[in-house]
Amino acid sequence: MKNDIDDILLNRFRIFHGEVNARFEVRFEGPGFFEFIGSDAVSGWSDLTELFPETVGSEEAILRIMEGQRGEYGIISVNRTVVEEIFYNLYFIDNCRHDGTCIIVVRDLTNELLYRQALQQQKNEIQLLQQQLVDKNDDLDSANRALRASRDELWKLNQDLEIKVQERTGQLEESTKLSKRLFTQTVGALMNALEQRDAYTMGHQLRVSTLAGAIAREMELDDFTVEGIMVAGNLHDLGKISVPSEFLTKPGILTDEEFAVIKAHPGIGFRILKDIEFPWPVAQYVLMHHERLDGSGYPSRLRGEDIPLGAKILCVADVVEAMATPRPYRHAPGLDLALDEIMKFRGVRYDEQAVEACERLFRSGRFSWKIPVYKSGS
Amino acid sequence: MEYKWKITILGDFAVGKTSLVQRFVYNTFSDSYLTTIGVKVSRKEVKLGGTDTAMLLLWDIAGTDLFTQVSHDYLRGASGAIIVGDISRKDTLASLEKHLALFREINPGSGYVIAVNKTDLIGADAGTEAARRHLPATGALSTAEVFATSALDGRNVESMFTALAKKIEGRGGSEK
Repeated sequence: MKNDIDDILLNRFRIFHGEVNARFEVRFEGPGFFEFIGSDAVSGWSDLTELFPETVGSEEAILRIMEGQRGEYGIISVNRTVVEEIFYNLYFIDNCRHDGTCIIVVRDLTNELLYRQALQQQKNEIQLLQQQLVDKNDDLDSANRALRASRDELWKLNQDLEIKVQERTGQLEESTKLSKRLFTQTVGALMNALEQRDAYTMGHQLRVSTLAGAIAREMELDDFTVEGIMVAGNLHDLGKISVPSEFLTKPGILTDEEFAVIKAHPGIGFRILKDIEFPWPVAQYVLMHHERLDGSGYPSRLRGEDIPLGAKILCVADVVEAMATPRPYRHAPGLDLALDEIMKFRGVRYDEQAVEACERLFRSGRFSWKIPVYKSGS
Repeated sequence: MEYKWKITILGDFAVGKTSLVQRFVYNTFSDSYLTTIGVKVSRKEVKLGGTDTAMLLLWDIAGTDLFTQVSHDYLRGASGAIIVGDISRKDTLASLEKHLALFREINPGSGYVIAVNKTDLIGADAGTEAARRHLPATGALSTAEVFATSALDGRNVESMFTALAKKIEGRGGSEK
């Protein structure tokens, strides 16, 4: 009967049972226990802590059961490697004899706990992955915060830079305006220097300049080139500063010697201006404004393409202004004759396109001088 | 004299408790992770001073998470404990205080050390001071003996178990 019960406990419930004595020795009843637990012992009494090292530290609890002071004590889910992993619960139970012995029960839970282990493994691995994701997210958050901080810093730097650029641009604009004013004033001063000597030609250079500028614009030259031609127009007779004023204002025909002196003025003007760093070839235009396409001009008797366009335009404007504007010391043929003159010699002495542009300007009424002509006594 | 001491290994799951025991007892390491269920008891004898030896019964207890706690029955009667954290997981280091408090509540007067494990992940020469910088500077942890361990390369594993054994001996560990 007892063997039948042992068989049922073992085969149906996987339960082994035995006895622990006062010397902490253990003896199991029924078959299969030592094989299950992986012990070499086969029967009889064995040392409890040798067979179950997990009972070390539990001696006091076991003693209390043996003495009837406690009903039961268990160590659950014990794992041991035999050939493969086994799991069991270990129980010590009061046998009600209170003679220094107690019942020991081992319940094999291997199948249950291996299943639980597989579930727990999955759960833990998922938690580890989740943690890694959280950490990665934290890293990304941290990187994002750093990026935002960098972006804000960059924005502020840009703002500061923008302010500095605006300040510097303002300074440069002011400096450019000042340079321009100084330049204009310098050109004006040079122009006045001549006209203070020769009041009779007062306004001539300015009128040539405005007409030459208008011709250049009519020829659709760019603004920069137009400006250079106008500057040269304002200074084209600067060399006359070294010509005696009586030669310049002499009514009637000049002697060859006198004319030779006057013909030197483009070269003198050139020498005065050549070392000034104009952004245009002003000195060259001044030097060549009396040259003619057919080589009949002076001082170098240049021809055609050897004469720059700026000088050719100045030449036309100078001839028209000189003929159109009366001088106190000579009769002026007038504008119509002046235009006839340049039209007659267009392409011969004077640049054809410059002549045609000049003619269109006057004939269409789109140009007239607003600069007053010197009148005696004014 | 021959002592027999129950040592509990505590900490969050996957911090390397089983690996530390495997390294100490069998001098082996496996990088595959197999979660521990319940408790697995291993034995290893260590030499103390003179002819004294101690048989350490190492209770490798299943790790816990936010929702589970170690059974108090596992901790009763322990002469010492190793509280383990993973240097690469801040939450496991934050849990050290909780595990230590539970162990001390059940076993006041028993010895313990802290293992900051997997230090191979932060460099070959990561030492105790580097490990301590990862721990809270308050409470019982601030005065605990800390070991920067690696079950992978074995650093400080043997010395940690030996140090704990001597600590228990110094506290008058029971003779068997």
